[in-house]
Amino acid sequence: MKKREILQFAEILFAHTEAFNFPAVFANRDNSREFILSHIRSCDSRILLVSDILGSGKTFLLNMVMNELKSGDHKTLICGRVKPDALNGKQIIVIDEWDIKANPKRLKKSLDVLISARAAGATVPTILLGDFTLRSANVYAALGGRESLAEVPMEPLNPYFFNLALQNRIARVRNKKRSEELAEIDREIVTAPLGEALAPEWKVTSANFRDVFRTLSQLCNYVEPSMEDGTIGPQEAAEWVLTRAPLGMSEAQAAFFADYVVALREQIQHGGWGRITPMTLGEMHAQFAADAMSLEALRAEVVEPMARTPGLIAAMGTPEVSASGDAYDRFPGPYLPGVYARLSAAFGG
Amino acid sequence: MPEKKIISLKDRLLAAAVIFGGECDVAEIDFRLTAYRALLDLARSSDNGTVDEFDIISTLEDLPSFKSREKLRKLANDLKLFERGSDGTMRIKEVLHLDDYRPGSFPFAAPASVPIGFVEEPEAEAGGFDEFYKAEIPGVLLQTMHGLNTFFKSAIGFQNKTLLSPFYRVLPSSNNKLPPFEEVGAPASTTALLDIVLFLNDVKRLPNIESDLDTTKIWANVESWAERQAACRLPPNDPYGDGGALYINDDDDYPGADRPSVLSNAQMLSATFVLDSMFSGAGYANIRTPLLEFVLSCQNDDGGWGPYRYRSELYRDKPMVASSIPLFSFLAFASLADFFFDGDSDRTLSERIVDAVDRYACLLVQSAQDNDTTAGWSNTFSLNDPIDLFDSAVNLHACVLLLKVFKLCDRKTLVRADILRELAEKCVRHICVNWEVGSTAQSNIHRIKFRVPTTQGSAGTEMVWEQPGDARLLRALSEASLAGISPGIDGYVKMAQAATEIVKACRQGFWMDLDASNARAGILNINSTITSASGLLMFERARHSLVTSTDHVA
Repeated sequence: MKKREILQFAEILFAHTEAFNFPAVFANRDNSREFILSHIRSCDSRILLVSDILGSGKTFLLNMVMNELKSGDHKTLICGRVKPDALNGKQIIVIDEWDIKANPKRLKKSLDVLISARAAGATVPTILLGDFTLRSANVYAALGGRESLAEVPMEPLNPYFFNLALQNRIARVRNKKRSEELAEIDREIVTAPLGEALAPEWKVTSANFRDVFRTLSQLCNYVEPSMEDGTIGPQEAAEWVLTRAPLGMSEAQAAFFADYVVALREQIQHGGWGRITPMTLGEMHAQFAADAMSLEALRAEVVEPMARTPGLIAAMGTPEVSASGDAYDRFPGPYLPGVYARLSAAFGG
Repeated sequence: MPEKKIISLKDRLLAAAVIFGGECDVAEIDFRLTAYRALLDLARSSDNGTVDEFDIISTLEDLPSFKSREKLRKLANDLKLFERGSDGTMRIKEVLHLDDYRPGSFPFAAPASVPIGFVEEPEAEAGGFDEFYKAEIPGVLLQTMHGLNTFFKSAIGFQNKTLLSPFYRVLPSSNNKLPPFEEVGAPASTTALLDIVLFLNDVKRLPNIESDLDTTKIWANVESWAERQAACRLPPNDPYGDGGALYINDDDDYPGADRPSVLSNAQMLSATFVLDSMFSGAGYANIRTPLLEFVLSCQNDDGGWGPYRYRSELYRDKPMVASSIPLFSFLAFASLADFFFDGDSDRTLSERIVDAVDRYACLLVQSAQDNDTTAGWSNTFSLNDPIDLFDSAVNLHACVLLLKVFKLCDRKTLVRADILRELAEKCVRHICVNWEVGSTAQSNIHRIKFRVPTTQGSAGTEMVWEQPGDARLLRALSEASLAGISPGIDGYVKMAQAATEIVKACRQGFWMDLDASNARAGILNINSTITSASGLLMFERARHSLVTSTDHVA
């Protein structure tokens, strides 16, 4: 694809918001889609959990399934704002945003409303969407334990998934029905090294659609608008890393992050992305901060603030909501590098 | 919430210094202000105005910063925006007492308290508007000049290729750059290009527009177009007696029309003065007479003009008279006014022109005295009169222009100048009181309806010509201001608001089509562009109070 065309179609190729809705072509979601569909069609009474990291496409997946079911009575409720009578008369109950953005007290209230409704006999298919909060022990217990729950096996964003999604979008731009019909020149618009950094081959991954495609959209700022055939690759990524360096870090945070990125880089060089595994707080402390601060200080002053900032460090643990709804551990370890950390490690100076 | 209180700038600054200042760097102050606003939004969006600590901390954690939770908690405490209720929930305060932040250490002259919303933008104050937009108007006008020049070049190419007139509504090409453009929508009129010619002539009179645009190239484009236009006239032996009138094949003032129109001939008439001054010796003055004859022949018995009027005996006895419409009346009159401002006009024509102008002036005055609110006028301009403000604006503009014309008339006119001026002053007051500046042009679209004329009679189809109202009103009040009729403080505030909204709506020198779905599809409208830019242009002139005795604008 010509570089200028990449820029011209960037909005479609790298769409990452609801502003652009693709028709029902969703790469690589066959398993999860089929799981949800058969759960609903078989009137399985267990509560269905669609639990994955933020930005992974859960809501989009659900909308696709609902469209396939032609479910007219589907109105997604929002966790924290579920009133008791809102569940009455529904054919399918869908409640979204069970995640770290929710107030724990209101999350608990929503749980209570849901359990009360089910206790009163409302056993229609019920689907909850959220992040790993849905795997919290207290949430499990409140929902009736594992026997009452069915978890959708969400496909992680890995190189295969990423390339398939991208090729589907290119096919859309080229008015082709299938990506197999694409010309050779159109098949690769993101170089392999960049693709691996954006969506590494990990079983548990911090890569999500929103961050990855938003990053690609930003990388377009560094693509020269020429009529030459081209790709987005290391050069653009290097410029992006340079200009997107996070501002406002404390000395301790900057030092930690620099060491973290260097360590990532060494691992990639010696064994590829597969060598990188989630690090616990203790492991991070031992490797990067044992001499500088306590474990608790590392968590409160460095790791958690950085985990809150998208793209640096991603908290991959299960956020725990206390039973009373008074407390919420929102950014628990272990931790994986976010997209900025990954690209810094792969292409930064 | 307490009644909104006007806070002086000084009090705002002092309060900000007290609350956000201290021993910290600029980035920290910026963050505190951001945090303040975020918490204000949180409180306003909460269900019953109450929040809890989690909401506050998570709101601050969601802001881009690398602060620990402890630091954010301290910041929330330092900002002191919330008070705790007996049930443990927190509610945002309505008033902040500055002594809570700096006990006993701020000057007596400082305010004791400020409302919680003191960080928000102040209401527009009388007589002024956001300084940012004042600086923007010349830039916007420049962009419009550039954009119209580009459009003009494309339009000529299009016209040469297709022999059709270019349209009012255009869609930029897929890379969002002009040219080329794709024509869409209902055809409009050759007046698109005529409007551009007149606008470009007006713009060059604004001395603070400094442009790197090579104006010789603009006018070179205009010249090549004008030559073709000049050739597009009915033959001398036109069976309906309109030989020499301007008529473009598919004259799309009105789709399906097959006779010339008042609008395009009046505009072309005005354009000949501009073109003659730019390209002397090109002979544009020579084509003026038949255009003038046509416009004069179309004047209705009441003194106004509709979109057309054809002599019925030649049209198989079918009545071909369209009722007078204020905007068409004004545009026809404005083309006649140009004769008064042109020093070389044939004096023998002036008697007939003065007669026509006189009759138009009588229409304005008489319709006011008759309280003919359908004509946009009223003698009393009572608040209960259902007057279309757009028509009022057009008539106001007409009054102002008439006053200039009367000064140049050799003979005494039927209507006294002081009567016209009084009408204009009443109209200005009426507009200033009743004008509600729309947040978008959508709420101020004036729709002029008329039927298409054909040789078989008036067509069944009704055409609608949409006009952006705020821009017209802005222009009319600006013209009045230049003529010494002040809109007063309330009027100036509205003019400034309108100018601000118009500037905001500009897209690379163009304005979008008034139809909402067209606008969403990215369709530009040349009429909206010219009308909006002209409004800004006149406003800019009014602000700079550029008035000369021979000043005239069509």
